[in-house]
Amino acid sequence: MDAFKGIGNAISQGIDAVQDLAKGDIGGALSSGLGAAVNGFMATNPELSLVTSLGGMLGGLAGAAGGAAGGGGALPGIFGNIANTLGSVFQNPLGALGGIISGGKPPVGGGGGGGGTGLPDVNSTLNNIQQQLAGSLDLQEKMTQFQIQFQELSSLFKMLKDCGETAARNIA
Amino acid sequence: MAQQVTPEEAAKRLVAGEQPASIFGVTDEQIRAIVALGYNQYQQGRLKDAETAFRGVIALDKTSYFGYAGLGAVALAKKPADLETAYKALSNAADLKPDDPTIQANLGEVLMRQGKVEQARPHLEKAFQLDPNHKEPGVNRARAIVSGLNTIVQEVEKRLQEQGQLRAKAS
Repeated sequence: MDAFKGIGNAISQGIDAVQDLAKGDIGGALSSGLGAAVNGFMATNPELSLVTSLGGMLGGLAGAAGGAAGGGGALPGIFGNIANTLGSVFQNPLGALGGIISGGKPPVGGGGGGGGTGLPDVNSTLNNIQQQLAGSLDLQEKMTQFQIQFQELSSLFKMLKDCGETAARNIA
Repeated sequence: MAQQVTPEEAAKRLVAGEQPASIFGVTDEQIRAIVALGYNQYQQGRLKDAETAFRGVIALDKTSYFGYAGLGAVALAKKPADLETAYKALSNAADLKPDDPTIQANLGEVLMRQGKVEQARPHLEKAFQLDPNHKEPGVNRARAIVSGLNTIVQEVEKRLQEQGQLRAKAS
């Protein structure tokens, strides 16, 4: 595990350097950012046999990659072909979310009576779930999962509401 | 539009395994809109908001790969990268959508950063195969990383060999 961590840190440092230089001219970049990555790699006192093996693997992968491509971007992608995958909502997500963010009725919310929305109250829903799961061997684990799920839904709808309010203010 | 359900009904359906999106009437299109919003926030560097969006998508529908793919990318983009979260999320995304080249590229990058180069290789090779025309920016990033690392490691190897020769001469 430590061996992985050591080489992983050196590789991470190398990836960060490449990421900063991801403008396409990887081959000519050794004098700047990549040079620091080489020094960082050397500082881990790697064994020649390990580096040779890593080099062989990377050489094979570089061949499979079909050459370095410019414009890879500093951030990792999220998923392929975003515009096609998300369709028309990609252009106007807030419009597609209209009912959720402008109606003021997020489907999950804080405690109490659900904010007067008539939508399910989190505490009451969780109490009901607990009653239904009574006797389960993994009750605590399941309840923790449901609580986390509700927390994440609450955070999501709060964030969506904030986005809607910001957009409305910008339009006004 | 969100549906009104009672706590009793919501609890019953959740325990039965139904996804919250279906229970609360959040449509597939609205889920894609949340993903688009998360994507925009991610591109603007607002990683915390993007994470909230993608975690929320997972909470709404565990069978959608969008949330896992997004959460994995955010975890990988953090400085320092949250490799454990990224690995779990991207593994789930790859299970749900094995033919997405960007997800394969990101999973390969996570494993490389963890030093697990042998395990990273099949994911990176698959990403390159799935994007033969170099159209996906996420895969082109992986191409640049592999090429750059290859250059670094070749230089390290050269220096180690020179050091070895110097030692041999000295002795």
